[in-house]
Amino acid sequence: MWWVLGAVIVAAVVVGVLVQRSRSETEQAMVTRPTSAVGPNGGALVGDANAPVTITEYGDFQCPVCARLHQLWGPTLDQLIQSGQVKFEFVGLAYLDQGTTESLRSAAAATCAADAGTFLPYHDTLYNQQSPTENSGFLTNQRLVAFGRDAGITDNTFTRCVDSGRFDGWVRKNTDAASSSGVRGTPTVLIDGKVVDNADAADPSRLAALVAQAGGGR
Amino acid sequence: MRSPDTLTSPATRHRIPPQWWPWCSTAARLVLAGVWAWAGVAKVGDPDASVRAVRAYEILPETIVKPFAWGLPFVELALAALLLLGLATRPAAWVSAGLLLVFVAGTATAWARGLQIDCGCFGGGGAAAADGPRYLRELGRDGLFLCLAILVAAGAPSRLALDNLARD
Repeated sequence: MWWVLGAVIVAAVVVGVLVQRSRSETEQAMVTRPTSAVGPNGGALVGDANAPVTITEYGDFQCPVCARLHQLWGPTLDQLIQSGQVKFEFVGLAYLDQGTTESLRSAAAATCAADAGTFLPYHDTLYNQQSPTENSGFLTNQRLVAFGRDAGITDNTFTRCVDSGRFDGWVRKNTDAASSSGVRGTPTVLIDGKVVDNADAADPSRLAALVAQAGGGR
Repeated sequence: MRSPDTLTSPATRHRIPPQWWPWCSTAARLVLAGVWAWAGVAKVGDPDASVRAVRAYEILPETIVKPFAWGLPFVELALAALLLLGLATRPAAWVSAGLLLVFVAGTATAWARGLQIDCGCFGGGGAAAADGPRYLRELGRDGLFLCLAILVAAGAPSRLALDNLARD
């Protein structure tokens, strides 16, 4: 009976690798690059391109800790961006999807908002309006479009962008790249490429000190 | 007063009658089949998440991560089918036990190394829940499944199995 099992296992591995590789390659091949500014990790880039310090957040719009971080560091981050000390790259990831595509579609919708020139207000709305339950069906395309209206987007191109999943492939690509580069969870915050403890990022004075230390205080 | 030798010891009183053993083995086999089916179906729909979940353990080299992550759900589904049908039952149960031991070892080393990950056993990309990893629960669950696998592999032959046709 061992030969039956051996044959079945070998067949399963071969079929599995061939089928899944084909699916993964097909999904990742459908990549559309945004027209808005993109950071080195594929995330939406906001702020002065010549700002001396880059803060990168790997986030997932379903992630409650990310929403909490947004509440805590939001005002300081806005101030650092406005003062030209910092440029901010937000890499939206699809880490928390389990049988759903809510993280994927919300990150893709945020990229649509970036192309509509309204990234930060849309990003803020997604975090502020986050559902207390992950993968609950809350983030429908209809709701993602409605959040766009709340953030001040009136262009129908945004609606078409969300409905067509224009940047789904882009988010998949960024998610795979993040995983390959060692990002194991969200939020992961980097200042000039160095990972920063989330507790430090969430504390306004420590965040400002880290930015100053990295060269943003000059 | 009854003499001690007429009393039934607790061990004897609670022992499962031998004629029930094949049915216990059958139940364990079907539960294990359900576990593998659940694990396989949960992973098969999202190959990229499976890759992230395997990568999160930081054990396998990058060249092995994708074949392992892509092949695993199909192996789980194959084991589910064999156990459900009762075909090559004992070898399938031994392989199940081996695979579960690999999962236990992977989870234990992730815990020991201080990684903050989810096991990805039933889908997902390995990102830990908001309240942190649940290693103890995952190890306990895998330990229970391991006991079922050993019961099927080493216990009485189960009923309602295609293996029995071959034996007849």
